[in-house]
Amino acid sequence: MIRLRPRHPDQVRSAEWHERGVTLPEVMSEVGRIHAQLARPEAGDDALPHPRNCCLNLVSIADDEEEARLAERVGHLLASHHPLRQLLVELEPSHEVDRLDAWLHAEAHQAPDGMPVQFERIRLKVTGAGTKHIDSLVAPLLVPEVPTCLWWLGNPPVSDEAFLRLLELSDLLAVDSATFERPFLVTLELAGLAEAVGRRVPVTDFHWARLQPWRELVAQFFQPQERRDFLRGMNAVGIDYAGEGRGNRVAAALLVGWLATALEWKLQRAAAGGGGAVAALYRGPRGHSVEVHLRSVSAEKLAEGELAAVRVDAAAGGRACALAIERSAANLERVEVRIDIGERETLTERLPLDTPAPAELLVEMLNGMRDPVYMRSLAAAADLLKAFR
Amino acid sequence: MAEPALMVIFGATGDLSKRKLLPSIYNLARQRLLPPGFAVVGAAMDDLSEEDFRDHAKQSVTEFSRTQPVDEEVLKSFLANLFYVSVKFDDAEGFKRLKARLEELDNQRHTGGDVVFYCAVPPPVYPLLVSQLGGCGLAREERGYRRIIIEKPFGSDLKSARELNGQLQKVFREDNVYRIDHYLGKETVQNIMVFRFANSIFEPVWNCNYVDSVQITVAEELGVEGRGGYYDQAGALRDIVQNHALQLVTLTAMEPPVAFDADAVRDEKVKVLRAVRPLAASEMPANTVRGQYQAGFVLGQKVPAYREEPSVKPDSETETFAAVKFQVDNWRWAGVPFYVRSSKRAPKRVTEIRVQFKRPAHLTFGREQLRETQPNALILRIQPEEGISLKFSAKLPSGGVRLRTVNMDFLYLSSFVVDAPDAYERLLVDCMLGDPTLFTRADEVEHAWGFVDPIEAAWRAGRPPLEFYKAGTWGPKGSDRLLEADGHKWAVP
Repeated sequence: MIRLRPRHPDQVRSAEWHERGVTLPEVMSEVGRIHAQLARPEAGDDALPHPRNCCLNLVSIADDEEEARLAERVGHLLASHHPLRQLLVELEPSHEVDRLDAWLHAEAHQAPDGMPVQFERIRLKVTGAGTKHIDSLVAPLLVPEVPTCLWWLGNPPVSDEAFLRLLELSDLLAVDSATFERPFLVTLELAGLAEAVGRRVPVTDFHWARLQPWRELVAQFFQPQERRDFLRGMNAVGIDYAGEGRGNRVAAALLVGWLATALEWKLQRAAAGGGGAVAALYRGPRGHSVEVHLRSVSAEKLAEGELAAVRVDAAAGGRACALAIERSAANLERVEVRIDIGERETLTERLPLDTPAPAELLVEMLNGMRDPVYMRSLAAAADLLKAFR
Repeated sequence: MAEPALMVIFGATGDLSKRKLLPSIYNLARQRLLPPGFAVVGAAMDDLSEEDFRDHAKQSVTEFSRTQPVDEEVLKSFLANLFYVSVKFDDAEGFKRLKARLEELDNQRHTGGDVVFYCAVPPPVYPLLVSQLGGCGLAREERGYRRIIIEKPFGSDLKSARELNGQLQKVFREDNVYRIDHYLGKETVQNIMVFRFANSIFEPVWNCNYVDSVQITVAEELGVEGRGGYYDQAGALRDIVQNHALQLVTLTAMEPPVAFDADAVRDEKVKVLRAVRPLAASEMPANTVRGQYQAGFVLGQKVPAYREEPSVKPDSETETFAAVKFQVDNWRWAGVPFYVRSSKRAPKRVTEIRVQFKRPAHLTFGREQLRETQPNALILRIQPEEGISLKFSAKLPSGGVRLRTVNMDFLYLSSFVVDAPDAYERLLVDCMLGDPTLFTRADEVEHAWGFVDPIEAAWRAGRPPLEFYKAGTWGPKGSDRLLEADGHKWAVP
């Protein structure tokens, strides 16, 4: 995982502009002016300014001020290493007045090797009927010929026409299923969307990216040659996730979906009980059964839906093994890993659990761009969620 | 620096003069690019005094000059060099008054009899204007030069273009006729030739062995902007494709001229137009698309359908979108499709040439990696964000070999610390210098009409049928199908 650090203020030159009640051509004109303004001081007598660097359009759609601030922080940190243009659009459809307010913030970062990294953030607040046509505001502001990542904070309105038109401008859709207000329904919609358009516009999820250390720990356990048979003999999986009642089960379902697609399990049945518990039965390719249990646990310091523990049981060649990965209650950035194999003594280890910043997760997602493992896992997770609906 | 001269602007109170010509001349003065003694004589039908005309010019410079704030000293001096003569174009007396005023100014300002006539009037007036200039002896080069600048559209078809050329050449020598296509005055358009012929690494791959296809897009977010009457007669094919777009084709496809002079450059451009394979009537449905915009949203604003625009017929069949696929039949471009499209009410204003290269001959990194990357492309962006981008594949910094397409960008705006002059500034100076390199020659115009006329005829006969597209989109569905038939797709500019 790449660690991002903001530039020292001495390495940054910036320019700003804002205006309320503007037109898009006015905004475009100011973007050009500020861009030139930042480029000019670099031009000395002997050197021409460097060309503009831009490797990404990051289109962030926020429903409120809090989401907009998060998007600003993420875009800014991401830009410390990746020159980009961020179009941050805050929507307020219920407002009676149709209006466009704009804030521009541009930075030129002087990197140690002399190449400048430029960051431009165009923040638009759109109120009233204009929210239904944000694609017509976004399209003219995209830097051509670079990938466009559409990051929809909150619930993506999957069947909304404006959303679909915006998707047509994009090369990647990023969502965070941890923040879905109705995680069950929206995840099903998202899976449907991924199936329909995923070949052209891949979908990715911050919640999935946060699962990476959990997936790595599970995969590492089965990595040694002598444990490979256990992989095929996995017979029980238990996942604890933070929440009250059923809460947000998306991460847990995605992890099950990942195992199910990797190990070719077929879902037989699933049922939800009280207190958020889910029991599901899968059948493996050799006909053996795999029991899956999900449950919510109270964990004050964890965000809703985050994983608290993963337990795996397996049997092969007359031996049994158990893997338990449990987040430490005292330190959420540590996990305790317990391994029991056959009659051997339990091996216990405490390992760090990466908690990357959203910007760092986004870097991973952008590098992956088209992540077929996620797409398959999402489809399988949706099947599981539907089965105990 | 050009020789001292007088410039007569016919239609001096019109829109072109207000938005472009007067501000451009002011900016030339500001850059000290006008010769001493230079003066402008406005000629229009309005009954104005010279002071009225100067007020009009002051307002136009203040509002439309590309350099702001306006330099009051320069403006004062610029206005002092403006004069006005009221001329009814069908009245020879007015031209006689104009002639007398020019002689008077020539004596006062020592301009050596040099006069440039700028026709900023509606195209139907051109023949009458030219005839009056000839009739009263204003085109005669007794002392100094007499040049005429004609705005596009130059004719409305091959027949009318030939007639107009004939009328002009009866009065002016061909090398004194400057047919202006302001696209050619844009820095980035001129840079196409510099890019191609001042660098050695591009020309070897600039041919059918390496180039897969060429896409040219001339799009704008605007509608007809009060020009509905004119536009409904013209349409996108005649308004843009016949001139701007085909000029971009010639600059992209031409052979290296022996020198950067008017005849050498224009000879090579004409050769390209001669090599463009004409489309037969039966080929029109498969090779052309015409569309018209419906209501939609552009730049966040709701805009009406074309048929709802003022002065447009409610059942108009005029195209606001035109796309044409054709071949350039010569050794260099054999088999390379050229796709040209022009659109009104596109999502944004953009003009660009995209030279799409072929994929590598062998898939060293496998088919899966190929999906993640696009073939090389060179994008010459004329407007906005003028510059050049080269797309190529690079390895992602991670374990294993994962590829990603990246860009190498050159942007005029941030690479040169000077403001690009307006196209009109460059072209006005070139005309005064007697350099017609960036103006179109009679045979260029005629060859361009020769290609466009059969398309126009087929379209008027309803082949292919008119398609509709929502304002704020990249055109009708048929436009995508045009390229899909060859396994291509339009790049999103």
